[in-house]
Amino acid sequence: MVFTTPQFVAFFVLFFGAWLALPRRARKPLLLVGSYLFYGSWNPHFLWLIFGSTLLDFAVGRAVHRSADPRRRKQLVTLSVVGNLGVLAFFKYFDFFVGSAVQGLNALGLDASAPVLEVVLPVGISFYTFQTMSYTIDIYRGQLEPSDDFVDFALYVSFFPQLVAGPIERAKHLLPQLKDLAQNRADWSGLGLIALGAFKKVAIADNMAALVELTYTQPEQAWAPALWIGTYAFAIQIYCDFSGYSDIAVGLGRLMGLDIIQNFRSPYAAAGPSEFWRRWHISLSSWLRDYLYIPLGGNRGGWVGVRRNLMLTMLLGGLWHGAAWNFVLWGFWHGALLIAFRAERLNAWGARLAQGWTRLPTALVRRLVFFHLVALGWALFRAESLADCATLFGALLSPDALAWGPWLQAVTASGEAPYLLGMGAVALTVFISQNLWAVGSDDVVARVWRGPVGLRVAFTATLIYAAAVLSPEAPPPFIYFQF
Amino acid sequence: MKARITVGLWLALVLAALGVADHFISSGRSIGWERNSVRNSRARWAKKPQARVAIFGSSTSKDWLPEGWLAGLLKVPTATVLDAHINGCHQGCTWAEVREFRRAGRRFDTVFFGTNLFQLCEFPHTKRVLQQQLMVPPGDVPGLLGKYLHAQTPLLYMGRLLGISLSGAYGDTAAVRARIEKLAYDDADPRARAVRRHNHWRWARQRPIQAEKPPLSCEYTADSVALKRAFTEGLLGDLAAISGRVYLMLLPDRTRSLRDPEHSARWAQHLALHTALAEALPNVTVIDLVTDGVSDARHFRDGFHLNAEGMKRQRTLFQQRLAAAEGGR
Repeated sequence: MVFTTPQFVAFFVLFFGAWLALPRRARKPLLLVGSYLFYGSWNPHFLWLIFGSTLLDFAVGRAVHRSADPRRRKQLVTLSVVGNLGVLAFFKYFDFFVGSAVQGLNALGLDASAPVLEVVLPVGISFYTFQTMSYTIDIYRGQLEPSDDFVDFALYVSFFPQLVAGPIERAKHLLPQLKDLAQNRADWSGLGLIALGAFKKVAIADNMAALVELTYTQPEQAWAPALWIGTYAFAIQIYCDFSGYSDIAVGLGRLMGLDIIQNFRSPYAAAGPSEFWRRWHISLSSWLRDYLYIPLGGNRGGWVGVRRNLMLTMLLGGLWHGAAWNFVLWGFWHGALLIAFRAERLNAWGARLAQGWTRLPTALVRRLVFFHLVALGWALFRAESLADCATLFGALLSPDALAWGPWLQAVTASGEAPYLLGMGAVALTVFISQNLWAVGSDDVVARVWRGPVGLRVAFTATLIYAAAVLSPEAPPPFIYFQF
Repeated sequence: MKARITVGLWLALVLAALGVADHFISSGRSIGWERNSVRNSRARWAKKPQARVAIFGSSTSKDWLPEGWLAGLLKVPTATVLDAHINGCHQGCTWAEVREFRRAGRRFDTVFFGTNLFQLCEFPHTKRVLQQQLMVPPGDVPGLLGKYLHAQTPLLYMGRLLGISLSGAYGDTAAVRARIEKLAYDDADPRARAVRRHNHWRWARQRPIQAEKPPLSCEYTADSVALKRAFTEGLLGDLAAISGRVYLMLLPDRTRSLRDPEHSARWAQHLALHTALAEALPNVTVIDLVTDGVSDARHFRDGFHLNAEGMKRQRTLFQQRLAAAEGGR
């Protein structure tokens, strides 16, 4: 059940109707049943998996808290981490690792073959395993009291608005709110966020997808300038797709009186990689920082150590996205950017540039340059194979990318110039608006909600209407559902 | 109090503006062929209030069966034969149409409804729900929802019904986009439009992507068949209620030309399913135009529609089977 499909609308209308109609004490069981129905609608067999993960971390969390023996506490937290990562490794990475090993051996001339299990990836597994792990680790670190109510904890793991594609919530933020579910009051600004998210996903991302599809399918056949068009389109598509999903998730939470963390804050306004990761997929980047980068040593460990930690974090962050080498390469690209932008010379160069120009143009140029670096990373992310990565980088960075003459002739022959100009205007609007007001969707909606009720209604109704009317007949699913 | 009135006025203004926009978009005759097909069919019903014979279904049910020829066969005046078909109107759409007829109190002596194997396949296009929403009487909406329960994704259908009930333009999404396209590209030159339709890929690629999708590919899943069965069952029941005789015509489609065991089994399932449905009602008779019917791919002009030679052959077989059915009554 994808958020922007009619069946989710029907599901939520029924669910929320019951939420409003039933006594407040019935909210917890209703939400749990609703969440399990939602997850079961993807594949009912995997309900056991999420239930098992819930049971494991609920029990381990309590045992860790009870135990005073450091060794036993360590054993228990290891059990949780191994259990969660084991499930993730099997369902998400088994075929990838075995397949890669066999390919490697074959490349060395060794005749090897292995069974490919064709394991079906349970939707949202990458998200909820990270949530359950962080719960147990926080208890181990003494930063969190374990939940004494299994239903509360099961709700924390399975809360349907953010179950399948985040934001990755922390227990210390979400659990207390779930505990007091009966007392929560609906925040109707959630409707504004849902409308904004639906518009971003359906009206912008789903229409950009057609441009990307045409250029990125068999990229060796594409015009090099067209590949840049496809790359820009994908940068806009993935932002509107993922942040649109997050906006809807946050909005749904608000209708139930729950505060879900913001996942995006105008990422294309970033002028460097550190800033980008403070604006893009904030819940994942902060998770990786707290549970991977800092335990690896973080900013301590000398010149080499810090760079090793950055690269390892980004490589694993890339692999988290998908079991394929192009995601590892994407992680490497961002690791390399983080390392490069830490270079003292580069920073000094940036500072000199800033001194010479007025602040705004300098910031804009730096943001534009960095946007192109991020866009090149998206080319790796979107590629369907390592060979495609090479083709894409080869074409995007070749002199052919500047050979606009033959390409413009092809544009004229296609008759698609008005369409391309229209889509370009949409993409540019998204980019410029982020750079003019580097805020998140919640800030936009909060501003509207400070206005008169009529403005709120107009905002919500118009966006929903536009999303419904501009939707393609067969829209693609949310990109991050595959992770 | 004053603030509430202001809020109410704002709300009314926004909703009225959206309503006007929605009405403007969805009622235009230049967009939405599904909507226009229903309008055209209703205009035909209105012209023949005294009709005693009716042909229901999609174009595959009607295009080979002219009213005049059928009238001659049944020995009734042509004016009493009503063409009630609607383009692209499969079982669910026809059920909604017949419910509307039943609600209007229309009665017939004989009705015909034709369906082929491929219509057992369900692709959840918005247009299917649009057709149903346009015709189903409000009192029959619970019945429609009950039929949706047979689908693999009942909430998808229910949500679409809700969306189309709230916004007429939502159901015509594809048509709205086509209209925007026409506005953007200057509709004046149809040749330029045709060139663009065939050359849209040129801005991106040096060669077009080769499509490998086989024609009429369908899994015929249990859910899909169950949904279509539920609609057909309801449809036959309603046809039997508004008519003395109901002829359920089983029509060939292009997959009839495929001789593999998989397709043979599917055609056998198609015949068995419809025969069982017909046998459950006393005044419903199957006219099997599949067995010994058109099965050569050359006699189809596309996946479902027959060419002139195919139509001629089908009419001949229909005449024989109808005579046999009439004789056997």
